[in-house]
Amino acid sequence: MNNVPFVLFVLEDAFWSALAALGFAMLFNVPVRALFWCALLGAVGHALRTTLVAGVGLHVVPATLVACLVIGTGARWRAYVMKMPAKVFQVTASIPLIPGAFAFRAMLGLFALAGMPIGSITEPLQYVAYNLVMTGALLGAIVAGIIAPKLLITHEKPVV
Amino acid sequence: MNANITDDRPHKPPMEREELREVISLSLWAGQMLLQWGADTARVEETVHRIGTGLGCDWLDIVVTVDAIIATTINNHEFRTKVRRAPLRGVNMARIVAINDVSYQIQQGACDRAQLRRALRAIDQQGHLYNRWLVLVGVALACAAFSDLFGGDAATFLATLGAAGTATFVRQELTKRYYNPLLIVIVVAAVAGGLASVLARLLGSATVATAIAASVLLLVPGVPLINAAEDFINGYAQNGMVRAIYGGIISLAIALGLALVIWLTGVNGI
Repeated sequence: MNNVPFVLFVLEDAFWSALAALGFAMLFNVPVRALFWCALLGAVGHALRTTLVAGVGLHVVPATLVACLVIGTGARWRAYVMKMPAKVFQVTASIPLIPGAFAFRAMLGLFALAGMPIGSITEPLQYVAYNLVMTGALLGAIVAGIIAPKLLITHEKPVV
Repeated sequence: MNANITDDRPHKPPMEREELREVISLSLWAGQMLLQWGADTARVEETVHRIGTGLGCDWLDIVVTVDAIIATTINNHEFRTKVRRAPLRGVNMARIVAINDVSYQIQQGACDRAQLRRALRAIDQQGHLYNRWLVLVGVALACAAFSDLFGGDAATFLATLGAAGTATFVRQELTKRYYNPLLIVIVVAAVAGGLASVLARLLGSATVATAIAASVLLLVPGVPLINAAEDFINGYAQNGMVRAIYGGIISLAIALGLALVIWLTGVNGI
């Protein structure tokens, strides 16, 4: 049975994600009473993605979408309960899911291309393209996921 | 005045021009702070509208661009128009929450113009909730946590902690001195990447590139990019485009800072 190590692995993942969300919440001057929920939603979101990718075997993009749907729903709920804009929770909780590593590799690959002879450029170009596409797809999944609950829950006649 | 209105639409009690002037300046002040501290376009428009109508106007017409607001307050046949600039200042959720609160108090009639002016002045003057050293430690730990999530080892964690903390310090100092925001991003990315690269190698990390990648995450333009997407979805395509381009330029500035370091140190991150 490797279930116990896997649970520990996910819990560790949740811990670091909570820390990441908390740090950025402080950078963004989030009110003290909202800090706990930012960290919790960040932990739940990233741990859920890790479970879906490493445990279930889902691709990272749909897994991010599912994680962000959960974050978005949780953010709406906390926004309703605490009478705060949902953005406070959405932005901080989705921070751990930001495709920083993909964006980093895409940018560095792009810069490395500049010094290469034209004949040997195909493979590095593929590398850049792959990382760019992954960055875009993950950003799209994050945004679609955290905004979808609002579009589905609130559809009143606009005020303005 | 205005006793001879002949249309059959419902109107609120007539207001003097002086009152309209105060309402427009107060509601634009609230909108300006929202826009400067990271609210999306729909929130700015709705909040300005809520404050204006809550203070007695029949209606407001509001145009929100990414760095300015134009509004007209309307009461019966009287109206006044004003433009307010609001260049971007950063992200401050506490101010957005406070302005949101006060706008609902006005809507419920629990706050008049004088109280609103006092409340806005207090919001404008409120300091950061967390002092700079607390933020520095928080951000450094956040970036170090990222290095762990990216699969880095203990040496990578420590290198990221040191690099991100120092980079945050540099960012705070440069911001205090009013340097150009893009220049700050380039310099901070170079400091974070360079220090992460050196520290990770000194500490014997097996994943130097992970330390570099995690250290620059403190610069990621998360709020502009999420606001851009929200603006597109809510139908403010112009603002969405401007914000998306701004987020893209910040990302390029991070890459430029990193490229400088890579040329200098010769670590190929990939």
